[in-house]
Amino acid sequence: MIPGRFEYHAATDVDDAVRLLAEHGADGKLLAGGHSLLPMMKLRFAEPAHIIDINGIADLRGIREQGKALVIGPMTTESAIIDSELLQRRCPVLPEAAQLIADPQVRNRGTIGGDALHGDPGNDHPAVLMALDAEFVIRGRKGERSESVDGFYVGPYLTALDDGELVTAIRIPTPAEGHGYAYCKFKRKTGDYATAATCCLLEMEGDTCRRVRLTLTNVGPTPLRATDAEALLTGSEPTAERIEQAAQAAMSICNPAEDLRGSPEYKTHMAGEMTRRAIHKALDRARRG
Amino acid sequence: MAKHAITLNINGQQMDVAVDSRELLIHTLRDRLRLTGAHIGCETSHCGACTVDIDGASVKSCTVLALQAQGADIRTVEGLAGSEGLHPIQEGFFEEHGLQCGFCTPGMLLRAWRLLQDNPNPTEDEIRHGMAGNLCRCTGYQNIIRAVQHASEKMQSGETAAAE
Amino acid sequence: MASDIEEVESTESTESAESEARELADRLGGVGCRRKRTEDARFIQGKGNYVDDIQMPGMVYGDFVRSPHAHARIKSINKDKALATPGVHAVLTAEDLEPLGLHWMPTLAGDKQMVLADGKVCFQNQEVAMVIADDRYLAADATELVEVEYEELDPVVDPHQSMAEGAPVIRDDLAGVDEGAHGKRIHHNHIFTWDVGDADATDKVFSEAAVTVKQDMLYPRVHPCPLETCGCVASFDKVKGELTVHLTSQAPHVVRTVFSTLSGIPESKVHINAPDIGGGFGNKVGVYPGYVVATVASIVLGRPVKWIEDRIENLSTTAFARDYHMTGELAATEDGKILGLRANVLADHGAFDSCADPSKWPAGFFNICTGSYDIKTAYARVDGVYTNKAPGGVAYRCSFRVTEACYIIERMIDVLAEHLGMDKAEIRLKNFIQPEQFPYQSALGWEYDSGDYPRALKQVMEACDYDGLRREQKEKRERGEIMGIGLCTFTEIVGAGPSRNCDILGVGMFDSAEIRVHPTGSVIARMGTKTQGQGHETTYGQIIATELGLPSENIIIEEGNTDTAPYGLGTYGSRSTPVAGAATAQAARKIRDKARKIAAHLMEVSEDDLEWSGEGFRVKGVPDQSTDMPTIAWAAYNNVPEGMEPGLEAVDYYDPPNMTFPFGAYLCVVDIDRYTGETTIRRFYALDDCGTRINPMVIEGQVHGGLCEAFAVAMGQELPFDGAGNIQGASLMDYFLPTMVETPRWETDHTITPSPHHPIGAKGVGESSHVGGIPCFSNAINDAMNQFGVSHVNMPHNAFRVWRTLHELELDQRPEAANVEPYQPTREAAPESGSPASVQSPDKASGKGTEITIERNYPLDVPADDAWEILQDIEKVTACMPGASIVEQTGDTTYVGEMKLKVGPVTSAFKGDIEVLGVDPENKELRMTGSGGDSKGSSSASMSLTARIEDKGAGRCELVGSTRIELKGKLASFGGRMLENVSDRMLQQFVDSFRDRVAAGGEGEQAEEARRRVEEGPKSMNALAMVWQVIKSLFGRK
Repeated sequence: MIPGRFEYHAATDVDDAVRLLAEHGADGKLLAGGHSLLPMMKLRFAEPAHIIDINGIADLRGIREQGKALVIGPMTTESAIIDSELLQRRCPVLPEAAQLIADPQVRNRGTIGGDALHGDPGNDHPAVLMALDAEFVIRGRKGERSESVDGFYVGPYLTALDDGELVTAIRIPTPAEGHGYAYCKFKRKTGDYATAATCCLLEMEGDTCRRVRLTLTNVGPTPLRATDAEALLTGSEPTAERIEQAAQAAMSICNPAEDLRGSPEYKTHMAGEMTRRAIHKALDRARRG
Repeated sequence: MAKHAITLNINGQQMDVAVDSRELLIHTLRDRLRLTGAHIGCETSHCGACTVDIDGASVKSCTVLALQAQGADIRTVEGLAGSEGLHPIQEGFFEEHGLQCGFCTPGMLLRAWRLLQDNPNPTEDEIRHGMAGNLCRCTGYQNIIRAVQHASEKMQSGETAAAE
Repeated sequence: MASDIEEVESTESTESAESEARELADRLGGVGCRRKRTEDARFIQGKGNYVDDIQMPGMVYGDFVRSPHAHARIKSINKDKALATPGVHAVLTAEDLEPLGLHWMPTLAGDKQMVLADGKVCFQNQEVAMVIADDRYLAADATELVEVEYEELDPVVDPHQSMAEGAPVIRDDLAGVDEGAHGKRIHHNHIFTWDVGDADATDKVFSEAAVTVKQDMLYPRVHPCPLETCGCVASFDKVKGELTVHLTSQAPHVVRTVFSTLSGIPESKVHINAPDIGGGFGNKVGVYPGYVVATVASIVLGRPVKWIEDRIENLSTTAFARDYHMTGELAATEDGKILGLRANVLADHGAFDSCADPSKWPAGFFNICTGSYDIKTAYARVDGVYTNKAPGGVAYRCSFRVTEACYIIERMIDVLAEHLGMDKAEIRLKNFIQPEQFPYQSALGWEYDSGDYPRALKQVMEACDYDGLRREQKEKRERGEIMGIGLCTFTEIVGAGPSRNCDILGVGMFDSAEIRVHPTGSVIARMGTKTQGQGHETTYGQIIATELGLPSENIIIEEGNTDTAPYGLGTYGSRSTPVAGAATAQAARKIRDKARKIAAHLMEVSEDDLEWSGEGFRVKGVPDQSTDMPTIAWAAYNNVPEGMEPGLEAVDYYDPPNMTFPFGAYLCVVDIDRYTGETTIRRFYALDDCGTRINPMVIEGQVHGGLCEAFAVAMGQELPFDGAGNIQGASLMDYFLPTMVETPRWETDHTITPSPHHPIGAKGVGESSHVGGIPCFSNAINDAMNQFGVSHVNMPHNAFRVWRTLHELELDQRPEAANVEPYQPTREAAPESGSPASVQSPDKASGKGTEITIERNYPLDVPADDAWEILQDIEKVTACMPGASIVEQTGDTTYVGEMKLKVGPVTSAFKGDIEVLGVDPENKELRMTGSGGDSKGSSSASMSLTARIEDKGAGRCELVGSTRIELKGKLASFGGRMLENVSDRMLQQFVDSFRDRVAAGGEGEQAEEARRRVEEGPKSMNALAMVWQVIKSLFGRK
């Protein structure tokens, strides 16, 4: 398994990367962690003529708090996300999800941007970022714009990102103090993609759910937001029956593809089960403060 | 396409090599620099036999371009033992029968070496999760876990001794 | 009184003798001690020497062009482009090998196998040509430049259909050959029928028995998958006419004989070297096309040639194991005494019978399937058939077909117990061969050497509190929790084997050891086996240390180099200790016999007055008068008795009188999550009896490793194929190699029942836990399911399959679901336009390939005639397809078309033939087909399309489309399951474009807009998301 030939460019900063992207157009490809791209290139499914390595751009890494938002550089590695004291405190669902991705070595190279921006329905960060109401800050030749994560994913591997554009930051509204969270992922073995996974974020007011987000991984062509399930829980007491209804509502929007992980029926069932578990776990955490 | 000149700092020794842009780090190490300790097992970053340490982190060198390691500090199995002999992690694998065919061993050692620096006293569960990126077909893992525990104990008692 | 005292004394003296022996073993590093491994020093310092570590001056690299098809005729191979590439030295095809007679090679099973595709390909990824280039990168590049034209043939994928009337002929070369290597062939896809036992007597027992049970079970196709793949470095010295091949071989001497026979080079000039081997597990017994072609290339080019397979090649071409479709039957009394066994097997051998079994055993030692039980009457029959799949049938960490045999009997005894409502331990205890029955003649022809099965099982039951576990299971069941307890009390047959009935290509299955004691008392010894991680360098040294009384630290063991090691049959089937280990002990004893003579000479006493002290000889009754082995060794080189040759060395070729029969009792406890199907292995307790224990540390390591592989096979490993013969899941993303996280904790135990016929009583242990572990895991899962009336579910017991069973039993629903109204969706997840899709998903069970049929209706706001005008114009229709174009018209209704797919970085270009089958103006219907391959020759696709315009009146119509797309090759193997999603999207895009094109012919703003869009053309890529999915679905990690 040997990659094809290409020209290598190490971008020095964001402007340089945007320039290189413009120059090489459709033949160019950004190299982030490389753990999706290089295997693809070794199989000769991907044969970009130009590789634009953005690993050297310090501005694209890092996690910081900016006003009421958390700003994460897309080149921040999964390991850095797991180790971030700031995220553990303010947005613990991200480290929780990152911990369930691949394995330690891969997490040392793999980045949140690489995971979130391919539009791969099997990747974990898209659903989590969608639940967090995050947005991508995008730079292209025409300047800077932002895109909400909810709506960013158009189809499998299809996103609102144009050729020649680069995401420079992921902006997450800081979740409320004491929110409940959980990312429950079912996989065949360590390192695998999700058979199905659910992200649940919720805020409680006494016994009532004030706000709920439920998103699903790998059970459709894109990450899915289970709005009907959210509606069932919002403004009410999350009884076992209501959680069961919400899980069923989440299952009703699943449309997974069959693969060796299982049949569509199984994956849908697992999305329901992960949804139940994520809600319960998030509730427990919210109640414990 | 012209080759690129890169400098790698491997096991404390500076090495200059010329590589193609597409050359994978594992091939540079094994084929050009003759450091054949790290192995190729799956080529898709699942097995961990190619694990080396780059700038303080365990990395699967079959999925990194040599060019990306320009200027990096790299540690391979060949650089584990010091002048005073084997590293405790190497001793642990020997003492606890943590290897059989030996093919996964260099990757296991390098991963365990880094794990113990990040977490000097890991629980069994932390070892299992911390080494989940390294596959072994021979040992059933139990003795590898013991080997890491052995090294952990030895390194800590060594530190205690040094402190005294 | 006096006798009492005597007894006490004798016990004491036995104990003290034992402790002395233990002390001596520890001091010498001899048999029985937990000696640390000598081989470890190099491995832990990165100084191992594996095949891919070898570099030689002038070395070049080989890489294969492989078939994307499971079954196809080769119309042409064009190497010109590849040969014109700088750095490429040669491209070899069957045509090049034919003059040397090397385009085919014999298999160990008496069949022959194509080295390179000779006129046709018979399985996906079959070797078609080898490119030789300066380095691996250039070789990989050039494989894409070799152009191969195929004519596809119908494949045979399901072995049950293999011998159907009219089944495609897989092996053209065997047309009209009625006599196979193992008897008469009754069909063109039939290989052999092998049976054993008394069929009539068995029928009679079954017809008269009070109770009979019958169960179908599949042992799926799996792969040994050692961490190091197969490979070689072949180097032909033109000056000396000598061939040296370094290769990953478990049996280097046999390879030497095969290579000499094939090449005509005298065997003395063929040097085979198996250096360090990164695990074998049966994968490295055979001779593979890569070895042969690399060798030919080296002879042709006069340079060393390296060939190393990648992981996909390894999983999809070199060896597989199992693929036994079995039916087991037991006849018994009402109280559970087994009276008879019947086993019928359909064995899928793939396209060539390259089973690595002893020549006379086409189904290996499957007739060990009466297991540990005293079954007086039995009959077993195995039918081997060809299919369009990779060849193999190797013994994956087991003796030949012993895992399969063990699985069927251990599952069947549970099936019988369940049927009778009997406890699964009780039924075993009731049917065990009793200790006093050994040596035991089995109904299917074996003589078991020794065993004590009841003791082993009882020891395990006690250690695990079996009765307590059963109570707990019952309580849990009442609480709605699912727990399973698996037992396995297996008997293996290993140590092949006596040359009277075991040979490989005519060479008897003896093994050998040569030991030389140097003047200073250190030793070098060489054996005909080859360690792949088993620790031979340590354990053989221990045997010699004990036999010769010399410290093992000064004993060097060498294997693998056929120039220096004596001829042996290699390491597999747990034969090293039973055969070469015996040879080692025997050779050492020859040396000891000579040493005794020298000692007598030195001490000036008669030989008869001497006794062995453990480290030398002493005069009987005068313990002070002794001499040690180093002294004797020195004397052997300068002071031997008159008439004796100097030196102290011996060779032994050991032809074992019988196999050995290791056994064990295992227990596994599982907890199953009824809502996910996930299994937790709570406990695994393994008691093994391998006779004399040479090194308990190494034994425990072997048991752990075998259990881990058993866990992998039982719980997740399989190599499925789709209906077109595309292999699925042939990478480590899908092929289940457990990590440290999933792997259970192992508990080990042992009893010792020495083999009476082995010089030191050892039986072999490297595979026991794999053989016994698999049924134990499977029995635990099945035990859990038995509670709900399910008698058997097939492996692998992954979460999906376990859930499927639970789901059928309606056990997977949450109790609270009963309290709520089933959720009614508030909105339809309807497609953007058109009627709901009627989609048939890829379905392995129905025997289909990686294909999809989509039928849809799309309303169009244009008159039917306008739409029909466009639809008949092939160029315009094609232009509506993203990335598609017509390259040229080759006939009235035929075209060459091209399709470029691009998704992000993923690109693929297909080129192929398009034919318009019919244009029916009456019904406004177009029918066309297209098929072609990608430019790299690794995938192909075909598509048929029927499109009809239906007039809906009022200036509107509907496009009714039906399309079927099929993929083959790499795309089908790694991306086929996204086909539905992507095809649907592609069709939608096509319709959007088509609609624009029709609308563009109109007037007004909308037509203007449509014209603009037509101008822009369809966005090249959206369609091809699939390709992207491919990779990620299997390979991407992030």
